[in-house]
Amino acid sequence: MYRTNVSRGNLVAPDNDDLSTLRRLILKSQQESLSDSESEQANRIAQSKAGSKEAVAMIDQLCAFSEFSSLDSPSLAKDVFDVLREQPDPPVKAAVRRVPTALRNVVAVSPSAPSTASSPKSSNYLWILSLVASNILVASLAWSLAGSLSKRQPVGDIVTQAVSPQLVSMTACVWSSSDDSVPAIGQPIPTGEVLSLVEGIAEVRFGDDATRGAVVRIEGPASVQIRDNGELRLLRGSLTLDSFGSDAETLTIDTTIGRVLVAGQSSIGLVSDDIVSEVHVFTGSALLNPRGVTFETEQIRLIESEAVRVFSTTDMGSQLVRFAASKSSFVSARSAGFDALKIGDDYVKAVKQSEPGVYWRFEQLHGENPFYIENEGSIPGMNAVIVGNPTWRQYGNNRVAEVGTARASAFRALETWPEEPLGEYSVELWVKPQLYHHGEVICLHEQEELEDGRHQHTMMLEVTTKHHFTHRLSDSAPNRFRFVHRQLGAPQPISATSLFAEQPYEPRVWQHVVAQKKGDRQLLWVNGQIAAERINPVPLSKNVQILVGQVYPNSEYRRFAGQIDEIAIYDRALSSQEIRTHIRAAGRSIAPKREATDKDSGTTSP
Amino acid sequence: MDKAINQDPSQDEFVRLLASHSSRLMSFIRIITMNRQDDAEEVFQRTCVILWQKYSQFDGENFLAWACRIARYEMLKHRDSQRRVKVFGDETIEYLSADAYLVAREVGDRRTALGTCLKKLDDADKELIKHRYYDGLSVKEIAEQLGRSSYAVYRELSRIHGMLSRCIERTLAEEI
Repeated sequence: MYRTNVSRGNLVAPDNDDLSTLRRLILKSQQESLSDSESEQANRIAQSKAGSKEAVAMIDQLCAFSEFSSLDSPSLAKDVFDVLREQPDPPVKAAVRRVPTALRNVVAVSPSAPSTASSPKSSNYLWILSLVASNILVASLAWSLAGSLSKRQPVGDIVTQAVSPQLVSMTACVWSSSDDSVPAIGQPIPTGEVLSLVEGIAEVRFGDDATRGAVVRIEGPASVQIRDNGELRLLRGSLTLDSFGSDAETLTIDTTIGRVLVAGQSSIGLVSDDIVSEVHVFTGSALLNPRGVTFETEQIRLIESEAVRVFSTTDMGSQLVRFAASKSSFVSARSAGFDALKIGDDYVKAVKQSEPGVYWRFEQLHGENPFYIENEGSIPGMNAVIVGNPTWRQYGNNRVAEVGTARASAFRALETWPEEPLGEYSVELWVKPQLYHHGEVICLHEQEELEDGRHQHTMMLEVTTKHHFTHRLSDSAPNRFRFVHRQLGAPQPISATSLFAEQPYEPRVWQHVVAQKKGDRQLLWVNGQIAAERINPVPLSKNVQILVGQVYPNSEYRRFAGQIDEIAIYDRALSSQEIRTHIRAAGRSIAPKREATDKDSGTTSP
Repeated sequence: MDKAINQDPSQDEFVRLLASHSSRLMSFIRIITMNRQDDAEEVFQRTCVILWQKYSQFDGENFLAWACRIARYEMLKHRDSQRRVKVFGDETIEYLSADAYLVAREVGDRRTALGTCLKKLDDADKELIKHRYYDGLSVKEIAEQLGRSSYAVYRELSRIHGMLSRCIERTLAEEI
């Protein structure tokens, strides 16, 4: 019955959405009943190898916290107390406790004002423990700082290397410039000039060979500057850096909180804005020389998996906390291939049972000049003709299309569809955006070109970002899927045709999206849940063309950067059951249903 | 065939084994009863009785593994007698039991690792853990205080527990 050959280190698998969902459902089950579908989901995930281990690890933590609360087995309390006993007298001034403002005056435990919000079973003894635990949180942070002091390394031990930077690649980059000059690939970046990357990822190379120097990936929106001595200065935004040199070769990056010295063979991430700045060390090590700080340390040394956050406040000066480094905070640190989409026969069968008119699987190229993807749906013709040079990525037996990452590329149907205006339809696909950007995933546009080269659209599904090309979208939340449905020639304001998903999309993660018209309802589904909905009675215009990856067939404007697979278009509204059956047939789970909030009611109603 | 406890020469050995494994056995039971203390205590008592009744069948190899097998059986029987809605089905409990045994074996080390890992959380995460488990606030209460949805609080807690799980495993692996 019991496995005995499992090493300790392998007990818990890397985190993923399923495991996160499972933990949430277990947490919920501790306080309230799960619905049938939640229970089914929890059981399904928990029956996987990783899920079972995750569930057990999770419940064990709950047990530990219960032991602490009930004091019937105070082993956790003992261990936490032991930690306290090991600490030197902490300079409490150096520690930071970031209590959410709304909670600060309500539940924070203080010696002079015992909490009145404890659970009913709390005893005096429990209150004392809570008080001590509260102090432990403060003390442990102070201890972390003390640890960094004891391990600090003189800057003089490190060779600082100035190197000349060069832009080596750009992914969907949009630059903001006071004149017409924008950085070009292969060109050195002029010193002194502030570069503002509005969106996209720009890769800058420092050094001139593969054994020294570093690659820096700047994530828009960000502003950087190359100083006269060749140092990179991060003024605002995020970047990741991989250094190639030996341990003794250090690169220096200037940030708003101080200079960061990165050892060779290290991988780090930096975040900088007006209030909060962070240094994450994924591998290797780095040294932060803070400037203008109030805490009692001169240098902070970070090693693998460690991160430090510096808050700048007007009333308390700068404050510092340590935490675990997180690659997921940096889009450019995630591999584009890390989330595999393994579509198999079950998925294809499920989709075909729903009888799509158009079904592009992107598995195989046909023809020559032009090459095309064959339509496996019921409508004759309607193949996806290749525009530009899309690339391909293989996940097991499944191949997906990658567009817009190296250069603009797209797919389009040469024939038009539908023959008559449609009151109902569904556009279903899997999409993995490479980054936060404003790009057209798929659209249905009028065949006839306007004088300025544009085409009118009756349907658009796109990803948006913080900075929009179209100022009319500037009031919407950033980084959302946007679904537009309108009737060609109908005088509808743009606000009456757009839907924005309630939650941001995830870069470099596959998401199942369905843009749908059902009676008078316009619906956007993301991962099996309705992400946005509105009343929009107009039909889909007839005789339009399908275009994937850009907004106009003859322009690279608003190109989509990322991967796309399994596009299916139906002349009817798929049911929720069908949508979810398709997702499950792909081996994926349905996203948890979001609780309605006041905010929701404002965005989902017409 | 009742054992005459006070006459059985193996009594001392049984008591010694049970005493040395009781905290691990209780940890196992608490996991498979989903941290329901009332259920865990009931199952623990029943299990101890059965262990003693069947002690003559113990092969002398691995007391904890044997005790956990019996505890799992007693847990399934116990919950069959309850009308409460079950979060996990019997089949899932089978899966969990194997991993719960591995966790229970090293429960002491895991508690120490948890203490270490709690220190590594950023302070906003620590505050949330503290409010939920030390201050005893419900998720709903926390959500109300923060002006966020319960779902958002559950999701945050899930993320923190995930970080703690991974940190605990890393810490245990480093100690080998």
